[in-house]
Amino acid sequence: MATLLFIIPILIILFLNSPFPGLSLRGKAYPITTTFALIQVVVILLAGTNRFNSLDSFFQQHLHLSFQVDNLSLFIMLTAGIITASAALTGENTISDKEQYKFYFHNLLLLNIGSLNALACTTDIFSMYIFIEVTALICFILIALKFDVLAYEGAFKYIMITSVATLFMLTAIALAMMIAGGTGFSQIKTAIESGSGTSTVMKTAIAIFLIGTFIKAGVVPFHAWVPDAYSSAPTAVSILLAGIASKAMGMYTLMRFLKSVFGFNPQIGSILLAVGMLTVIVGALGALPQKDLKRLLAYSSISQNGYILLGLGAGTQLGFAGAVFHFFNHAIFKSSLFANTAALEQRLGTLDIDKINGRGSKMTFTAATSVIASLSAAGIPPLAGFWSKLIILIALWQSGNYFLTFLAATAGILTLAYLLSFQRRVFFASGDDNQDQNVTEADNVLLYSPLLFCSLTILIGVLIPYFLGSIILPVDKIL
Amino acid sequence: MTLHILMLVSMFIAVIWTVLAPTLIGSALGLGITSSILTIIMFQFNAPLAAVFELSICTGLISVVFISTIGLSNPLSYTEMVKRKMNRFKRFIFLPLIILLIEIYFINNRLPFDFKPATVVSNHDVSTIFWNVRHLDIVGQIFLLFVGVIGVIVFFKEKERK
Repeated sequence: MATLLFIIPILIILFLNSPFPGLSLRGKAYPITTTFALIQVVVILLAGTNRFNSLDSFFQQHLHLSFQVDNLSLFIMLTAGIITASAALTGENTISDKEQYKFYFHNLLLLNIGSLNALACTTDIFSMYIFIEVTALICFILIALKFDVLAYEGAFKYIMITSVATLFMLTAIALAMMIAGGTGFSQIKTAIESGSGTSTVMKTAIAIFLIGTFIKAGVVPFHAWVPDAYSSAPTAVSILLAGIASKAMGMYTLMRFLKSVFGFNPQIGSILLAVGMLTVIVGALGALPQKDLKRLLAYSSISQNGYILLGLGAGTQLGFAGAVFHFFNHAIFKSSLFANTAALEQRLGTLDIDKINGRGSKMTFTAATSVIASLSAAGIPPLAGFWSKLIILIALWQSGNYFLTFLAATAGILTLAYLLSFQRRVFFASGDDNQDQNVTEADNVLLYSPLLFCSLTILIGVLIPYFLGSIILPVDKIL
Repeated sequence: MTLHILMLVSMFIAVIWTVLAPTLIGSALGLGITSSILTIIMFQFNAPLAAVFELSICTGLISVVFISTIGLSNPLSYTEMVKRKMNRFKRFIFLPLIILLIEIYFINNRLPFDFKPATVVSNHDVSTIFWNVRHLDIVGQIFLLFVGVIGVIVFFKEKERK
């Protein structure tokens, strides 16, 4: 079944772009993209890994496709489906007035979700690299889709910096292949476990690969491209980047390698903890003085990626589960906040917080969903974000990193500070009453995504005992 | 060994020329020369198939694509070109020093190749591995093709519109 999730998007693209009038579905790109993404979500929620793998054995046998679906893959595909549906909904109103650009946007969304599905299922490092590059190329085109100087600059910075990451990853793949004799995860894992893991060359390969994933994920000190890319891209693309694309290329790759390839060792853990803590603090401090709403959210994304690294660096099953849970929660609350910026941009025409000056107060639904998403991001109970951060803090404490636990908890205050500041200045400041009169709530289509995400945030937070035992913790052992 | 080092140095010079060339056509030519030297290196390392791909695609096709793209872009005015030329050299002034420092470091701290390279045992030739074994990579290539086509259409349509 996983095969269908990356083959079907290609087939849809062929029908969407068919030159034969009878076969073309050109005018239906938006509903098809949204429907496919939502169907993916439903399929993943209803099917378990056993059903996925048994249906895929047919394709594996006849098409020789090497992949495997586990709980981590399902988590990523679920997140990809939710975020893609949200990006499609938001993009319909925000990408462009021209139908053809909306059409190509939806084509790229379909290719992106197909690529992410394949990335989540592959068991080969080189295939993983190919799908990472497909996703990066799609993001490059999407960032530039506004066709202004800032968009081109953001896209150029993105592709230049992530090309360096590509270089590092390819070098690591070449070194790993030299030692392992192949590029399969199991081959490399066997080579590491048989003693080659202590060789300097293998350690160099792992270090280089880690740097590549850090660049792709946009963690400190490789985060320079994130604020420019997120802020200059159309808002629907920012949802995609912050929600799934950059995290799948960086964080998921790192998670997969920790789980399936080189496993966890204290040295890697130390690096992840150090980089994670730095990222949390620098991201939060970077967000504080921002005047542009999307740049503020971009720095917030950088900071939240640090928490994911802290969870992975703890080196325990709880830490890994917390990291995956926070990956999902971040996708939800950050996408909700970006969807709110789309609503604000539509009605107010600006995302400069000083110029907005409380004019968002008339947009009550947007304000309410924004507050819920912000509180979840800041880790306020009983919302979902609180639980994922708590799990990470507990994992850090249990692994003996007491000082880091204290620092991470304190950094949460910074998160609360910049998010509450943005809420106050955008929605609750007493602005000019004359300007406020013409401001109304955004179009309904821009409210569906925040509604869905906030509902999820509250539902998961309130029903955490069920989700923790049945979905989050079984994400799998890493040791 | 001497020939390899000579090729590597030549490629490095071609790369520097590509980045520092004052005109885009110069950069495209530099890229073509870099790819040609890389092709020779690949032949030297007994990888003829990779060399052929490098020559036909990177030296040939990519150069054509670059020159077509350059043909569609607006040229800089004389003042802009002079200003850009001066700024570009200033940016790279420390590059030779950085390269020298890196070289000195690696001469004194060689990477110990303290492992036994794995023997890759395969009864298949490259084309069999490509078409019959690595099917997921072919799916990836199909994705790349679609993305490339859409990217070209999106950007060139915007260029025509402007």
